[in-house]
Amino acid sequence: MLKYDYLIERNDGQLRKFVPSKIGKELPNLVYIEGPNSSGKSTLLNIIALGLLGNKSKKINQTLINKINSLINSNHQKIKFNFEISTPGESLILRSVKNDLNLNEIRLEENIDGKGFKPMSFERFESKYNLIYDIPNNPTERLRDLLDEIREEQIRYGNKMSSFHIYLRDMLSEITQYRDPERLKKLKDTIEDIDEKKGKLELKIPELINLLDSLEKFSYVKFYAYYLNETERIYSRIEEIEKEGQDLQKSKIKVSKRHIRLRNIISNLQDDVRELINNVTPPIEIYIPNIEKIHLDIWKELNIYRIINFEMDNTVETETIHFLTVFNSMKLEIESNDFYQNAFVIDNIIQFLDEYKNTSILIPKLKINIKEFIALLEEENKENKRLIERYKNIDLITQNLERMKRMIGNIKTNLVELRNISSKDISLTEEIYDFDEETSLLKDLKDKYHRNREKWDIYLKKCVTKDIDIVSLESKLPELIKEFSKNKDLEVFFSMAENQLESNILSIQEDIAENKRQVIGYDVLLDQYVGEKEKLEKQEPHKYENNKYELEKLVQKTEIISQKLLSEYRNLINKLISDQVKKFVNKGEEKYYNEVFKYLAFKIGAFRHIEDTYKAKSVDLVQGIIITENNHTIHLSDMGTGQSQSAYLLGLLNVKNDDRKIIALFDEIAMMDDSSLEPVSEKLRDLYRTKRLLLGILVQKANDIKVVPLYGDHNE
Amino acid sequence: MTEYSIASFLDALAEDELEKKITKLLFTNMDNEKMLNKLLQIVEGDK
Repeated sequence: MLKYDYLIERNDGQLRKFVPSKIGKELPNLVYIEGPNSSGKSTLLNIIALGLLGNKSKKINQTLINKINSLINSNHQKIKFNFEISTPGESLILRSVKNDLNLNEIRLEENIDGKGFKPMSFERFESKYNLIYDIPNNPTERLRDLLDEIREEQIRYGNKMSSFHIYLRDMLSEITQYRDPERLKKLKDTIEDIDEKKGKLELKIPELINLLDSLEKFSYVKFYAYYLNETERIYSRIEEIEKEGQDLQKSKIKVSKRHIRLRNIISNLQDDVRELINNVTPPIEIYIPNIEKIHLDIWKELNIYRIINFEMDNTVETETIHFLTVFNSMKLEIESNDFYQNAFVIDNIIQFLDEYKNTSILIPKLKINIKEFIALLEEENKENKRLIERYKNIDLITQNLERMKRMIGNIKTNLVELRNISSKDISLTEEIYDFDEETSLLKDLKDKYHRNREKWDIYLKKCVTKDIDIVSLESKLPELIKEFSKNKDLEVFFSMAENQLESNILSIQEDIAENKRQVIGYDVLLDQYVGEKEKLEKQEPHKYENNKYELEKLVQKTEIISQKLLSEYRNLINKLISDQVKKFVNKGEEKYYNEVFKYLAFKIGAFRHIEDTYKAKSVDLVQGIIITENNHTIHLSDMGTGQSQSAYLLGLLNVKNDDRKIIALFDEIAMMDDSSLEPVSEKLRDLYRTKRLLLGILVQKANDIKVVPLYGDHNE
Repeated sequence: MTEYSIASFLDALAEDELEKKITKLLFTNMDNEKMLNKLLQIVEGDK
């Protein structure tokens, strides 16, 4: 039932008032109204549309919106109204009231099951009711208006999808704020990794400290012994040369400068040989087999300066050659060892790869970088590498012995020459040597003595810092050297020169400091990560903690769908609405528009054309044709206006998947004859019967007033 | 012809099964949480 009343005050030169008079203030829910102009039938439809806030609807044609708004926005007229639309039994009542001519406030209310009237906003009304208000002018053209519904629905579901997408995204971000399992696992792995690295360093540091301690002791003792021997040797030499000079001076023998020069050459060579002996003796002591002990004792007693009748002690040369033979055969023995050969090859590979250790290339199959590969080879070669170090040290001994052998040969040659010139008289032309001047040899020796003495002192003090007993140091030197030889970690350092050892000591000290710094750094990181892990573990797990992957997938998918609905499809439907589609640009467009045409066909359903009824299968708005289920092609331009109106109105009323109650208001349907009107009336009756229609009013122009109920007891 | 609605329209345009399933849920009255739970059931079932 529709109950209504209104008052319109219009001032067009004179004030006139309009109230309902000809149609009646109570109408059935489904009604057909005929009447002449100004009988109030269109006014009634406009008031109902206004009362239901239809002026805010996006679906209603703009011409009609203007008419609705003219009721409240015109300067020449004022309106107040009220109406109620109720279902039989009044289980639902919609009421709209504008009770002040001068105020535009409209109060729309709903009463369900007699629980009292509650106000409704436009949004709430739209979510529960579907207001269809139309004048089917030029209906063939206005078939496009049916597309508005697709556009609105696309936006509606696009927004719903967008809201769902945002919800899913929020859930994902919530998981990371709760106990993020991925973060937790990552933290545990990181802590484990740091712990392992720190553990390795903590094991390495004492090893390095021990190595440093041994290396320092070895170096200090080695060079204490060396400088002690050198200092004593040089001191003795200075004494010998001074005495020799004094003896020559006393004997009044004249000596030529050439004679002195030769003596100096021999003396320098003797010094060099002696220095070599000092250098080479500790490694010889380390590597010499026990069986050679007698030779070692002879070696230690060698006197390189002993020269009798221009001939040096042969023992020096024979022992040198003997040791050369011994150590060369040791070299050969090592060279034939398979382990040495493997170690040698791997060592060469490591040296080659060392140039590329900072590149990021991965070794195929092993999937490790070159630096890691070198570490792997070094670990594999650790035991065999000692053989290489041993070989290198023995090789250095043989090289020094070879040098000694050559120098001894030189000394002998120079001694022969000295003997030759000593047996001749000094010629008058030769320069005579002045014994009063200190020889440059003596001066060099004295300088060298002071330098060696200083070094000896330095190593003595260093020995003290390492708690080495200096009182018994000299007597225990051979024993100490032997002790060091047992330390395999030191083997690599045995043949190193003084500066090499100093730089190695410095490098190990830096390694220790760096490793300690790293341990401290790892402790700081561990504190931070363990704290974060504990905090994370205390947090509650998110209910979707185990669905993160699925959520990520759904977030992506819902974004794609909402963008399609709100952007891609929206553009396509707008193009069709504004008649811009002349042909399909691609398969996607073709698919979309074909679905639109199928949808339009469903909206129109069964329609009249000439004398027959057809069912549409596709309404192709691009070609302007309807394809029927029987595959007839009907051109829209061939359809009569009344039949087109009928098809168009059916399109408006064919709604599915929409539970909203329909309020249908159709004005000016004059072009429809009875056979065209009947499908529309039947559709309205069907909707009313299934309780989907709340109010249906069809209005047509005629000479006389006629109100015809279209349903049930009212149907005449 | 068979009944054709905006739901059928969007279903026909969906690119894959997951899109069809998500779109179908849009036409129910489920709230976001229910929709998510339903989808997770579907995804689990598909595994």
